[in-house]
Amino acid sequence: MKGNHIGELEELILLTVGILPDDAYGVSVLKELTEQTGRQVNISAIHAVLNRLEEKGLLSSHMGGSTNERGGRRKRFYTLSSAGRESVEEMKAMRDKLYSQLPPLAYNFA
Amino acid sequence: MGNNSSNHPPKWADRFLEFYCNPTLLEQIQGDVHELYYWRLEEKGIVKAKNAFWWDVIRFFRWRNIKRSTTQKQQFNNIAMLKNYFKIGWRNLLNQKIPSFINIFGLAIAIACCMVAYLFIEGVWMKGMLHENKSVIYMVTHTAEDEDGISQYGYLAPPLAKMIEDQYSTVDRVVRVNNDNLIVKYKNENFYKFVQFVDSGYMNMFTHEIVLGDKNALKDPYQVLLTENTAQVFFGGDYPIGKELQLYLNDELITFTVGAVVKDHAQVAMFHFEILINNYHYVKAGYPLDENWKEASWTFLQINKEDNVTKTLAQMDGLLSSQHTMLPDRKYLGIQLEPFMQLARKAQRIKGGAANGPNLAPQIVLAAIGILLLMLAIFNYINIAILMAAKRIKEIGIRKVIGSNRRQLAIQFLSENLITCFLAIVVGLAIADLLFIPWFNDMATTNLHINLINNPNIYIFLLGLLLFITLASGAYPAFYISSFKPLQIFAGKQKIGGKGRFTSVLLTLQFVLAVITIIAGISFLRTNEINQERDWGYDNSSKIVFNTPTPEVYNEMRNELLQQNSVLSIAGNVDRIGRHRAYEEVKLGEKLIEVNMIRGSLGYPETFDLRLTQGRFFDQNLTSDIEKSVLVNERFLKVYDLEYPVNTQLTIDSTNYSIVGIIEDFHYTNFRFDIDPTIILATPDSLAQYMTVKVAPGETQAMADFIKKSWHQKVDDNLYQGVIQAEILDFYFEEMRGLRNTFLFTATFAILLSSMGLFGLVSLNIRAKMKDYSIKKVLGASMAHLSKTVLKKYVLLWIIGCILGSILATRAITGLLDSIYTFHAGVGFIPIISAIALLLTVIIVTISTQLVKVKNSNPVDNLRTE
Repeated sequence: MKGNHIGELEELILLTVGILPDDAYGVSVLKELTEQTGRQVNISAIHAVLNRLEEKGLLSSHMGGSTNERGGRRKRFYTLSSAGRESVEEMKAMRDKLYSQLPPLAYNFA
Repeated sequence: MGNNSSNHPPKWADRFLEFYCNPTLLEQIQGDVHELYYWRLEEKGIVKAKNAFWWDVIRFFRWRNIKRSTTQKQQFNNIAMLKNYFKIGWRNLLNQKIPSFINIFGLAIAIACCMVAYLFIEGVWMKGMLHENKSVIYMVTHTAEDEDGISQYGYLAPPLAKMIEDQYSTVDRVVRVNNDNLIVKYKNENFYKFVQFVDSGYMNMFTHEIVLGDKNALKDPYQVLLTENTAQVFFGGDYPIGKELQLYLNDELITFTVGAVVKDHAQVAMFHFEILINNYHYVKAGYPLDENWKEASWTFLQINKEDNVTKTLAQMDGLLSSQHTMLPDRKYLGIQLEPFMQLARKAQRIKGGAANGPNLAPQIVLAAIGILLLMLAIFNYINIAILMAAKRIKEIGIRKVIGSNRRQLAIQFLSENLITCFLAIVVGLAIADLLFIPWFNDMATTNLHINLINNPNIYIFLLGLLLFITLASGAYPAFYISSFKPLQIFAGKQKIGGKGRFTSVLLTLQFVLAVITIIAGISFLRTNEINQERDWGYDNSSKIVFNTPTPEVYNEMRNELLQQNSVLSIAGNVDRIGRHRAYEEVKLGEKLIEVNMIRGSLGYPETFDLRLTQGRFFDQNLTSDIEKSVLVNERFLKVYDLEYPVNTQLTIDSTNYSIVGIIEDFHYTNFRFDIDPTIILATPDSLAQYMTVKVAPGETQAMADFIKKSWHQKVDDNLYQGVIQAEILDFYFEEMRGLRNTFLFTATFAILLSSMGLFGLVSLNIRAKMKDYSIKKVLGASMAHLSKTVLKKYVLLWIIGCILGSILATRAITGLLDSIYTFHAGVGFIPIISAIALLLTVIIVTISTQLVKVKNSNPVDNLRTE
């Protein structure tokens, strides 16, 4: 599994891209992440992670069309690839599995 | 913030991003940071937005995003491309044999000259570099008061050195060096040799390569150490170790055995001994060195750690009090330590130090010659390269159409140039090693050689030279060639060389340089002849002068020689005309004057064939002439404004003399010095140190041999120093010949390089215009007419070159002659006319060889194609 291991920030960004269909690019991912998790991340870190995830095959990307926004500069949009989707599912399953094995708290009077 | 522009993201941050960012990533990254900026501008205000923008740009500056021109793929392409460039370059080189030869050979000659200049200059400045301990060796100097105020002296009283060695813990070693010229006796023959007396630690402090024997040989005071050359002189090919030599020390003959032989000093050594002996023998006035406060030795310390200099120096003041008690007449004011490596640089300041100050004049002359020839060769290259491009104009056009940009074309030409220059350096090294350096060593008695193995500086020099000539010769042609427009090339409108203004300027400059060097060569040639044929002021033939160490030897030799039939007359002398004269203060009437003085026996002036103009010589039967009469030269009368007969008396050492005769001016030393007022004083035979013998014509050599033989039978603790008077200035003439040859050499190569350049230029020009000429020929142009059109341009340049060259040469060379010669005819008409004529001849001959091609060519052949 080494090499395909996914870090925490990578996981969060992967999920963020997943919940932003057709509108996941650097700035939107940054804003969504900040809004949803309250984490302050630098844009360059977002770019780095997006690139890394793409290299791992979990995301795919394409350049968008040019618009009047951002001085006509195009955006690179990311979408969850099927491998990415699988990976998200897998992680969730693994976490649930681990969570389910958590022993109940000792003083559980409920 | 009403100002619109201030709402934009920080300009410099944005530029920085554009500068470093990989172009393929720039769009998305720049888009994102801009979007964020405007978002923050609304949310958080301008200051925060701008700061955040900067921060983002800086954070994006990471390896992944940075522009890299050479990804692996591109690098492979580059190598293939360069390989192709070199291949094309090599083929072009072979294709154009004559121009390539001119370029490579010309550059090679210039490089060889530069190499000689470099080695010479390096040798001067790198003195002492080879000593391993150089960084921890210090020379002990002292300051003392003298007529110039306070001066620094490069030596120390020897007992102080002993005290330093005994008492100082920071000092590893102390070596005192004393110089002397001693007579060495080997197998009944005497030699003068330059001897250095040193302490036994010398060989451990300084690095000398041992060829044979033991490094510690000097620990035994009766062993000596020789240089390879000296060993060769004494023992020839025999094994020298253990052989015996005898040296005269304080009039005593002492036997030494040879303990070791060291390699001859390269140019870089600082000490030039022939024999090394232990200081044990350096006894002066009965005192051994350790107790002799009046002596002065070069003293070197080797400290144990580089940091201990200040500590050592701090202790030095303690030595002053002992020096002051021992030698109160000449108190040291202070003692200093001078780093060994700085001695050469400080040589002018330290009086009596071990290092000689570098003599700048020969360095400047050599460097100037090297640079001059290099310039000529580079001009050739530039001119020829531009014309050669004519042949490749289609190639350039096609490359441009395919998409080469200017830079790529320029790089291609420069890389081709690199091949030429590299070959030139290889050939140049060979020429230097096989021809120039041996010539130079011969002429200047230096010991230069190219040492490619353990001298890294040469590589640095050669690499620098390679880059320099590649760029200097290639930059303009590459720039020029790459500026062609493809459209014009294919339309056939591209003119190569244009009006050739640049080429003409370079060619004129070459002519100027050639004229200057030719004038210099001829002027020196003429001046040498003038000096060689100059009247010495006396008849120098048939005279032999030799030393007579004691009055007994003088008398014995005199008696023996008087019996020889071929001896015409004999005289004794104290000073030697041609070599040495005294310089004394005398009184002329009441006036104190300084004059040259030549002392000899009563018959000396006549034996020497000095020419009397007025009055009489000394009367050989009148011994009172010794006390009463002097002769003076004509210059004496002129300078002091006297008329013969002179009534004014001369007073020398409170004895009064009257002037009885006037002698025609004669040269009492070599021709570098003018003739000054000189008096000739008669001395008794008993004071004579030399004997002058006048022999019958044609007997000189035979008598010289006879005298030498008979002298050796009578003397054995001195060196025979006999010369034939006519040869006494040979050494001086030899030196002047060397100088003359240097200038002739430069002139020869300057004219060779210029004519080669001209040849290349004309041949390429004529080849390019062959069709023109063919058409003219068909239409009936005569050869004279054709020649005129070709020659016209070059003759014009020749005229300009000659005028400029003559003016410059007259100024520069007159100054040079003035500084070297006392007697010269200046530049004058003849050298200028000859130089101009020579250059014109060379131009016409060079061009004619090409015109012959035009003449012999059949117009049909040239016009048929296409």
